[in-house]
Amino acid sequence: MQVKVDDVFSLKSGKYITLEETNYEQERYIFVNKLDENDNPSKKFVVFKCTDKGLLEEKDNDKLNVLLKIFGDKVNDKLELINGLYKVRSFLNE
Amino acid sequence: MSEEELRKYVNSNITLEDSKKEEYQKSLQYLQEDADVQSMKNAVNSDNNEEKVRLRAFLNLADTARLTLNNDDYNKYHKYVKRNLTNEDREKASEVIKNVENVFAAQDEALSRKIDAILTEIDKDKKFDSIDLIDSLSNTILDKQVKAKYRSLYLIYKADFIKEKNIYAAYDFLNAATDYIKVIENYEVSSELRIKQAAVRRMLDKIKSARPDLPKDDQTIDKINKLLDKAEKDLDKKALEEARKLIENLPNGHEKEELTKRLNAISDKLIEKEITDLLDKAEKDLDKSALDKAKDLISKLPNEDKKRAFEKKADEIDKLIKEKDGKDPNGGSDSDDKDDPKPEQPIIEENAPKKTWKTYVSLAAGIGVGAAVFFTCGTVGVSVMAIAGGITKRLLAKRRRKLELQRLKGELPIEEVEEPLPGIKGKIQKLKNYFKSEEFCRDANWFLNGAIYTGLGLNIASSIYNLASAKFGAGVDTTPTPDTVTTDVQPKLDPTTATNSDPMSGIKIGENVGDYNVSVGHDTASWATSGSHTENLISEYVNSGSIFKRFAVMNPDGTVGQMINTNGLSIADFCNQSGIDPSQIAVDVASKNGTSQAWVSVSELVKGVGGKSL
Repeated sequence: MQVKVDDVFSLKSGKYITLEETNYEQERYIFVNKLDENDNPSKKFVVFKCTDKGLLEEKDNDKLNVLLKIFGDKVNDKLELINGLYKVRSFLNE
Repeated sequence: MSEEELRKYVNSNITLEDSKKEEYQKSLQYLQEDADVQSMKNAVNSDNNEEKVRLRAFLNLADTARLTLNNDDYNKYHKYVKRNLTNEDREKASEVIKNVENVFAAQDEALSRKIDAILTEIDKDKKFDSIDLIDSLSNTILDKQVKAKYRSLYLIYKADFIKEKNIYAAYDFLNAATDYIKVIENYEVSSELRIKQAAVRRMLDKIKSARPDLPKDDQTIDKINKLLDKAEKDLDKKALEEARKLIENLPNGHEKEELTKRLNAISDKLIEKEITDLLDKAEKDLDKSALDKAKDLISKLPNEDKKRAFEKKADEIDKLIKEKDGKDPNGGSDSDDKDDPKPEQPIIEENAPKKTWKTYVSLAAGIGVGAAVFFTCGTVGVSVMAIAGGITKRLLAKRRRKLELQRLKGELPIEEVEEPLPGIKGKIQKLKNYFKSEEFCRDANWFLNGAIYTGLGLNIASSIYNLASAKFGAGVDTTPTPDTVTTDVQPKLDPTTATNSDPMSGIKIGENVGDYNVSVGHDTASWATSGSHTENLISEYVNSGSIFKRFAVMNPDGTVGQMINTNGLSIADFCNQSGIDPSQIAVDVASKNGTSQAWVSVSELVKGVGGKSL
């Protein structure tokens, strides 16, 4: 079953939540945040390659540099939205 | 003639003698050019009685100066009075001038009291947290003598504060105080200041004599440059570190910046040399530990191109080492799976709460304190400072540009955010759609209460999580509920510090002013906390029935750090939770329908009310 954005999944190494996805060189990658024992975000982030046989941690530095740039830009966009959100006190009353 | 009589005369029907018309006409012309106030021009154009127009005009200017405490307007008014009025008129005007000067004196007195209070605290606890507030307050004082006194005090205390960190800068501050002390006419005041100055100078001299490594100014730069030359030529680490120590002790300025840049450039060269040596050793001896050390240094290189080149070389050597150890360098190892994990099927949690927003909020909170969020990816340990740095720099640069624009326009930043900024509404909808969850929207309200408004820190983010967990339970309910959003936050109290007898505990957002003192206030939050531009509030409009609308936490430079809107939150609770001093907080007092009326400081609110005081 394919892991999608927002999904929470478990591997032997722990539990993760999927933040972003992208395609690069005809492969699909996901950018995930590891959750701690209380299911809260930790400071550990991982890039997985999605293969037919499952998820494989990406360790190639050249690929990681490109992928992390792509994921970083996407994360930046979300963070700008959040920072904009903080300035509006009444939006929930719309 | 008193001001009241003057105003009566101006508004009466007495006409002007012809002989005086030309004289007054010239005065009017001068007033128009000098004062440049549209309302006065209108008054001049609409009235035929020129004497009255002239007098009315300068009374308007006096009123403007008095109401706004605008020093420029007051100076124009004073200049006009001195140059253009006859002696007789000058007497009439003197009453007006006196009234304006009294107001300025009261303002200076308020500033002096505030500074004295801060200095008393510093003398008591030796905590210099508010030292820079004294800088801005003392610069606002109008009277030259009073200003000289407090500027001297600021400089002397500042020297005391920074003496351990940067002794030369401390000497600079101390010497600058002398220029202010010289102009003080009151012998007692100037003596006292000289005594304080001498005491701090003795402390500085003691520190300097106890540290023989602190070089004299005139030799320092020369010595540093020689050390840097040696470090650069011979790739000498010891010389580099010696230069670094000397540079750290220099006073801040252009010279220190240039030397630091040169130091960093040489440091990078040394690191690159070390990496090259380690890679050579790793290649020659197939030494894994040398390779690992090299990789660690490579990961910290700031120059991306050089980093990639070194990484490529490191990978090649890695393959050689693996070949030597009998491993397949391309994967599929038959001996050791540790570096070659196999794909693993994930077990996806069905119906797990969609909580990616929590990760983003923790990242956003990290931005506010400039803390880089360190991404580690698996065993590679790639620290992606590019992402964290990019996020931090971009958002901080944006905020800085906005604040700068507002400063240039003479506006105070982010005081009033009643309506969504242009473009925000669309973004909110986009965000709502993206997360597809009412639960996020409901939880996000907590963040809108201001705790992470500027991303002040992970500790605040944590407190928000705690509050959200307390309200919504350990796991967030994924079933969307009707959106009855409230701001009824009951923050956790620290039972060891919060007490009901605290005079600030009754200043609560959403509640009536009651017995608190709202006889004086200010137009802006920064004026409230700096004690400047104090105005009498009209009790008909601002009274016990008014409400506390929100709190503004001010930065020392007068900008708003945080805006707090949490209903039911008191100043006492907020200060206990956040550790922020109440003197940094301004309270927005509003009418019952929520229209802001004035900003009042906490000390003003609690003053002289039922014996309460801070």
